[in-house]
Amino acid sequence: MPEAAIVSAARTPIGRAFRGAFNQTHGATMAGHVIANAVKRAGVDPAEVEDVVIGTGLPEGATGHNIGRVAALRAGLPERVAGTTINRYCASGLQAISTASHRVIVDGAKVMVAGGVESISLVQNDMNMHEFTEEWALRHEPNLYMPMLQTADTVAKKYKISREAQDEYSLQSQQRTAAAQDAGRFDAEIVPLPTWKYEQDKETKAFREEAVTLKKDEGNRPDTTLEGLLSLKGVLSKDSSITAGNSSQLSDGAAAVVIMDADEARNRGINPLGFYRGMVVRGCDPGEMGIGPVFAVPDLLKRHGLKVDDIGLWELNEAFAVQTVYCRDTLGIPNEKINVDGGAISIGHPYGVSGARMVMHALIEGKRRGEKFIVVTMCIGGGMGAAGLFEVNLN
Amino acid sequence: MSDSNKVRATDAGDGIRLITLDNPPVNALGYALCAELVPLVEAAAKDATVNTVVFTGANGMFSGGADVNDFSTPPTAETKTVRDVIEAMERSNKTFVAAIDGNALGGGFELALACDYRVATSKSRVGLPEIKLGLLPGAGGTQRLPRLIGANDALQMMLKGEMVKAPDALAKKILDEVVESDAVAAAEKYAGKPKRRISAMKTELGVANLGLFATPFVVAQAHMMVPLEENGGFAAHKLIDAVQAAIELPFARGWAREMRLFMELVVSPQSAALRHVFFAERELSKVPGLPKTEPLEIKKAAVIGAGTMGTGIAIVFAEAGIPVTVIETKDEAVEKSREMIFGMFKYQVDKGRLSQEDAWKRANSISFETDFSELGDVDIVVEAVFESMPVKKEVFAKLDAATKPEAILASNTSTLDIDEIAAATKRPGKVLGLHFFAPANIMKLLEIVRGKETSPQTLTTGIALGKKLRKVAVVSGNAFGFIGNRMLFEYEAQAVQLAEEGVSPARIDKVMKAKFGFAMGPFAVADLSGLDVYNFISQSQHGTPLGRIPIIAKLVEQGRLGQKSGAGFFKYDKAVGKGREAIPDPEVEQLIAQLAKEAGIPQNPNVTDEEIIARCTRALADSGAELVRTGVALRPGDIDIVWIYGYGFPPHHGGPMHYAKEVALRQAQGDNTPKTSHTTETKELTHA
Repeated sequence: MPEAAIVSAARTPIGRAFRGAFNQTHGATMAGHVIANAVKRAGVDPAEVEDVVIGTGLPEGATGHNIGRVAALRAGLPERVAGTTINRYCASGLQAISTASHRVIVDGAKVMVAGGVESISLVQNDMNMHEFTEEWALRHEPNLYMPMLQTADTVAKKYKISREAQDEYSLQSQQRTAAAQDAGRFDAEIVPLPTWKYEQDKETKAFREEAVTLKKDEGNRPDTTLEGLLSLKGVLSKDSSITAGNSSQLSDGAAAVVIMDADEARNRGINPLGFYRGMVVRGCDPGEMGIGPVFAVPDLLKRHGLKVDDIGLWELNEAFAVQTVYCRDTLGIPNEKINVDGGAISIGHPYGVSGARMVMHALIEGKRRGEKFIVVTMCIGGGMGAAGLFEVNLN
Repeated sequence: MSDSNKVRATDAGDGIRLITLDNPPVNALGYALCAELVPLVEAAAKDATVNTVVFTGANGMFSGGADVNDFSTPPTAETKTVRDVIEAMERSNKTFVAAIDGNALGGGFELALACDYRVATSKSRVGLPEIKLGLLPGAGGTQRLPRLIGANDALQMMLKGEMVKAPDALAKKILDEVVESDAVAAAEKYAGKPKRRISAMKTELGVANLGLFATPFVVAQAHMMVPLEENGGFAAHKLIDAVQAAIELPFARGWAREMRLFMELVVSPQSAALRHVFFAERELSKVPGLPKTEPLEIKKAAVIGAGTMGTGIAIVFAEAGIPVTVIETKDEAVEKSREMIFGMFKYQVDKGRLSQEDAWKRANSISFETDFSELGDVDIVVEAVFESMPVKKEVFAKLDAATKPEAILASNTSTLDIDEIAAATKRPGKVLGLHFFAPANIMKLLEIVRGKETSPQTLTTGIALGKKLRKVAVVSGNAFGFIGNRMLFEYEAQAVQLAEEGVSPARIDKVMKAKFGFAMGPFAVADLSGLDVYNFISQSQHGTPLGRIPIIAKLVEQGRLGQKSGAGFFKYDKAVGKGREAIPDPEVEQLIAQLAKEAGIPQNPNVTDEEIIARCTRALADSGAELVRTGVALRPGDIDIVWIYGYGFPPHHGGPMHYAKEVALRQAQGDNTPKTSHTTETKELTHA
C-alpha cells in the first residue's frame, strides 16, 4: 500500500484576531501564501499538485466560497490543480492532512497539499446566523449550541480541575513558547507575510492602515506570572475558573504541508519530515467537548499497537487549560512530553489552522529530539475528539 | 470674521457662514490653504449663530483640487490637507452646501462631496481626474462618489478621470440643483435643511441584479477592463480596490483604506512618471532667453497641398475657428480632400460632439484654390508639399511673392533644413517649421522648428498658435529630423541592430509593445511610415543612423515599401486586420541573417526581453541627451513630451529621458535588473 509522506511545511505567524497583524487579511491571501511556500519548499512543480485540501473552522465569508480552491489559485498553482474545503471545527487542519493522506494512500495521488486557514477577524463577528439552529436539535441536543466557554466551565466543575492547576498549566505554556521563540524553534515553519493591518485611534475612533510584516507569533506573553493569571476574573461569572488567561486566544493565520507518495519522494531524493500513520475521531457529550481526546487517543494507540509510553511527543490542543490538564492526566501523558513549546493558550488558536500547525511543529521538534512517534490530538466543538499518529523521519 | 490670504469667511445672515476659496489661479487646496480652512470650519462648528456653511470659490472656479506640487512633499504631522478639512466637516453638526460656479475638480470636488448639498451653475464641471496623474482621489472621493451615484457609475467616472458638465451631473444626482447664475444665492436657500452626509449612506452597486456574486462580478469586470498593473494600470487597479472598499467596508474603514492606497500611488514610479509629464507639459511654452513680444493675430490661414497631411492641417485650423484656404492644383486631390473633411465632420456629428450647424460652419471655413494669388490676406501659410528641398524652395519663393510681408511662412517638413528653406525667401525671420504629425487632426504633437533667423515674434506667434490649435507644441532647433524623427532614426537603427544579431523583428516589436508599452513596435512603425521614405532619407543623409542600415535599401529594392505595398519588415494581408496587422515574414528574417553574415555581425539570439528594452530605450535616451547638449531640445522634459504625444511612448514610463533617469537611479541603488514595471510590498504576496 502506498505511504503518505509529509515533505514540507510552511505557516504564517499566528496573528491576534481583531487587533493583530492579519486583522484585515483575507483567508485566501494567508492560505495562498503558505501553500505557495510549502510547494516551493517541497521542490515539486506546482502543476504536479493534484488537489489542495484546506480545513477551516468557519467556512464562510473570507474563508468561504470553497476557500481551498480559491487559495490554490491565489497561491499561483495552475488552474488544473483542484481545491476543496473541509470542516471539523478545531480538527479541520488535522482532518485536511488526514484526508489528503488518504488521497495518496487510497487514490494513488502523487502530490497533495493540505492545511488550514482561519480568519477570526474577518469571519466570526459577521457569521450568517440566519435560521442557524434547527428546532429539534436545539431542543433535544442543546449542548450542540453551547458556548465553548460554558463547556470548559462544565469540565472544570464536573472533573474538579482547580483554578490553580489551570493557571499553572497556562503559565507553563507561556514560558515554553517564550523559550521556543528565543531558541528559534518555530523559525523553520514560519514564512512572514507582508500585509496591511488597520488600527483604530482610541480617542478619535479614526482608522488608519499600516504596512506590517509579522515575523513571529504575536499572541504570547512571555512576562506572564502566576499571580497575574490568578488575578484575572472568570469570563462567565465570578465563581468560574475559566479566564482569558487560561483559555486559547482568538487568532488568524494559515498553515500548509505538501504530502507525497513516499516512494515518489524517495525516487526524487526528497527527504520527508515524516509519515502519516492514521487518525481516529470519536464523539462525546457536546456539553463537555473538551474531553474528546480521552476517547480518541486510546483507540488510536490500540489500532496501531502502541502504548502512551511509545509516543515521544504529544501535541494536545490547548482549547482551554482545564481540558488540556484533564486529558493529559487522564491519559497519563508525562508533562515533559506534551505541548513542549506551548500551544493555543500561548501561541493562539486559529481554529482550522491549529491541527496542521501542531502536526508540522511536532514533526520538526520530534526530529530534533529523536522521537519516533508523535500524536496530535484535540477536542472539537460539537463533542468530539480527534487524534492523529505520525512517524517522524529520523533519517 | 477672519480675513486671510487664501480663504475668506463672512456671515451672510440667516445663520449662514460663507467660506470663499480664493487662491489664484484655480483655488488649489494646497497645504497652506487647508491650514487656514480647518480652523474656519471648526470655528463655524462651535458658533451657535451659524447653522449652515456655504463653500464657494473666487476666480471663476470652485477649486481645481489639490496642489500637484504637494504630492512631491509628503505631509508631516502638522500639515493640513483636504482630508483634515473634511474630517472637521464630518465632526461638525452644521449643514454644508457647495456653491459651485466653474470647475470643481479633484480635491475641490471631494470637498463638495463632503457637503450635504451641492448647487452649481450650468457652465460648471465636476470630476475626479486623479487617475491621469497615476493617483486616485485621496480625500474621500472613492468612498463618497460610489455612495452617492452607485459603485458602477462612480468607478467609470473615476477610471476615465471624466469631467462631467453640470446638467449631466444633475441628471446623475451628483448635484442637487443647477442654476444659470449666482450659485451662492441658490446654495443659501438650503440653509437650515437637515444634514445629509454621504458618509452615512450605503453604497449601491448600480447595476442590474446579478444575484449572489454581483459585487465580485462588477469589481472583477473593472479589473479586466483596465490595463495590466505593469502596463500603466497600477493606479486603476488601486482605484478599483478603493471602490471595492466603498462597497464592502464601513465608511470609516474605507476612508482609511483610500488613504493607504493613495499613499501607495504617490510613491509609485508610474505616478511619478505621469506627474513628470504633467509638469513637463506646463514648461513647454517657456523658451529661455526669448524676448517677450506680442504674438501676431492669426485671423486667416492657408495650407499648401491637399494631401492627407495638408487636409489634416486644414481641419485643425477650421476646428480652431480660423478660416483656411487650401492651395491645390489637382482636382482629384481636392476631391479626396473634400471627402476626408466631410467624413471627419460627419463623424463628429454622429458622435454627438458637434452640432450639425457648427460642423457645417467649420467645413465651410475651408476653401480650395488653385492659385497662390489668392493668398494676399492670409496671416500664416503652412506648406505641406512633397518632402524635397528643391520643391519646397520653389514653393517658398512663390509664397514670399504672393503673401503680405508680415505673413508667417511655415513648413511642415519633418526633416529638412528650415534655414535653407527660409533662404529662398526675403523674410527668413518670418519662417519657421510647424511639424504636424499624421493624422494631423488627431495627433496632439506639434514640433515648432526655430530657424537661425526665426524672429522672437514669429516663434511667439507659433507657440500661441499651437495653443489655439489645441496642440501640445514643442520648440525644436533646426537639426536633421528635429527632435522626434532624429531620435526615431537612432531607435530604429538600434532595433535593426538587434535584428542583425539574430532577434526577430516580430519579437522586438512584441517586447516593445506588449511588455514595455509602446503603441507600436519599431518595425511596425517603420512599415507604417513607409520604408521608401526611410530609404530616401538614408540615401540623402549618410551621416545618420539610417544611412548605416543596408537592410532598408534591400527591402525597398524588392518593392517592400511597408504597409502600403503589403509588405515591409512584415507581411500584410487585406484579409487580416484590414491589412494593418503585421504578420511575421521568415523571408525578411532570412534576408537580415544573410546581410548580418556577410557583414560578420556576431549573433546573439538569446538576448533577454529586458535587454531589448534596455538597448532600445537607451538609444533613445542617448540621442535625446545629445539633442539637449546641442540645444536642439530646450530640456529633457520636452523630449519626453514629443515621444509620448508623437510616437506612442508609454506615458506611465514618463518619456525616454525620464525613464533613463529612473533606470540610472535604480542602478545606482544596486538594482541592475531593467524593469518594465515596479513591484511593491503588497505585490510580493503573489509569491514565488
